[in-house]
Amino acid sequence: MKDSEGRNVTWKAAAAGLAVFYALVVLMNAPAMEKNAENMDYGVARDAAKALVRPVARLSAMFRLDFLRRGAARVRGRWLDHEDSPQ
Amino acid sequence: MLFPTLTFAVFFAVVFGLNWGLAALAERYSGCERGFVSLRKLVLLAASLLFYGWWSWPFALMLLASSVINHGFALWMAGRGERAGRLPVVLAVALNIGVLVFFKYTGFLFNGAVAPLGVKVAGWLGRGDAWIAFLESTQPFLDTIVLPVGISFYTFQALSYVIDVARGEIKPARRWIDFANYLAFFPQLVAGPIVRAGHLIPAMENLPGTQTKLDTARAGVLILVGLFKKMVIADYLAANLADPLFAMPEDFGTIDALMGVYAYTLQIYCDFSAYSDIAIGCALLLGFEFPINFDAPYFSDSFQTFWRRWHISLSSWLRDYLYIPLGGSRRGKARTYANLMLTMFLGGLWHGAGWAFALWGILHGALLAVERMLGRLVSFRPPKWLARIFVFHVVAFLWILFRAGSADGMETFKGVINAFGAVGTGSTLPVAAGVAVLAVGFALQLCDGSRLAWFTDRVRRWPVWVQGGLAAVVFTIILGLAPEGVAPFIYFQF
Repeated sequence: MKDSEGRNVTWKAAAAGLAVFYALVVLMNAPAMEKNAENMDYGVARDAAKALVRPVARLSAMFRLDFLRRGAARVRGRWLDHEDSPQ
Repeated sequence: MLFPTLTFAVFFAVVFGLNWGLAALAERYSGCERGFVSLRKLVLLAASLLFYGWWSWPFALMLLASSVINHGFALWMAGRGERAGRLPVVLAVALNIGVLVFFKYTGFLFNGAVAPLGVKVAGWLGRGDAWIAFLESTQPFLDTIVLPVGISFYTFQALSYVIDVARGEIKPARRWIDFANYLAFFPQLVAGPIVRAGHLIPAMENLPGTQTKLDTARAGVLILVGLFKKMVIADYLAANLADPLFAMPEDFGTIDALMGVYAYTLQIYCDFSAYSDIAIGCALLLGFEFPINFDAPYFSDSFQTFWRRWHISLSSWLRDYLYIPLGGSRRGKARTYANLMLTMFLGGLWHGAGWAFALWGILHGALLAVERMLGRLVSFRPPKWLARIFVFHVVAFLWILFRAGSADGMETFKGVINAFGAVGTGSTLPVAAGVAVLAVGFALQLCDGSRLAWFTDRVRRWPVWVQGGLAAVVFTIILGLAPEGVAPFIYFQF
């Protein structure tokens, strides 16, 4: 893929970038993921998902790492959600 | 499996790891290279079937059967060469189209043509009661026919393979699994782009190795732009503007009708192009390159340009496998116009089984024919900005028919047209936020094609961990801006 540009990366570097992406996404969204896990249909899967996410969610809440998501959700609530919209 | 879900995120991470991990093992243990390469191909196929089977396992098996049968036809044609004649290609095309027609058009053909015609004939013969009883007995069977997701897309890919082999433009895939991976490759399986066999099968035969340079910057930008288009813009426009209008058009007036039609016009663009963007981005991360599918279609200053920029992979498929074999523009003016109309009529029907889709296609065909005719007869050319506004509004108006075609048909269409006439009715839709989101949706066309190359070039200079970190930040903002839950992509129904 576009070897000539010389700036593209091998799969190992891409994997590292993807790992950073996934780790940060989980950290910044863990509280919301914990809430979603509570709504899962299957008991075993729900318990497993909650057990996996809970420690990260606590860490995220402690350092308020979900501020971006909450900020964006506030923007949505203020500008984009319409309780009276005829849905 | 839907792209913007946690399930897909986990699935993709596993597939990415297995794909490249097996590639690394194949190069490290050169003695077992063939084994690892075969295993990698098998993993890719299993991943695609899991992606599709998440929705329906029986239809995943049908997809597998389609790959076996079409590859068999290709081998038959290649093996016998000229001696095979036209029989295998005719059989292959008939079988593929037959399966598509059965799943997609049986109900439409029966209820829309056979049943009403039969009522008249039976009434004439004095056997009306028997015909009604027959109709009532067949309806439960018709109701059991479920449209397999993406069947229109993978049928066209299979057709491109057998036709290209018959024309001698490509050779059959060396192994069945290479063709199966081409047909079922999960990023583009259910909603395109319709990738040509000649483009993807060589890549499936010689899988990208570990030294392949991945354009993570372009992949990341495409995926994030796609997620923003779908999760924030398209889903907002659908829930707040388009769906309310098309559900109860009699409740709305002129301004709302205009907002709703603009909303659907941009919703379908943001929804469909988002799928293509994410598909192209995911494929890039796995080492495969797909052609672009959208190139700022609403900036077009002619209908011909619009169709060169909208769903490019379908337009070019229709051109190469239908319009040109029909004679294209080589057999006189009248035949050219007829070919255009027929191609667009079938293109309309490809989208859905309904008269509204057929009419939508015919009208687009007529516009292309009239534009071609005027181009020859009249030397006057309007200013480009005026042509762009005109083309955009005509296309938007015809989307009403298309949207109605996927709902209650002509009644909805008439309802929306009546709403345009209800001047003075106050607006009940969120106008200010709606206009802002519409403007953003329109502006997102500036991300199509190579328009964002300047930005992608900058991102490419950053270390990969910075790219990953910033992508996580942008993705989190998208998640916050998006409403709860994910609506299916519009083109899944086609």
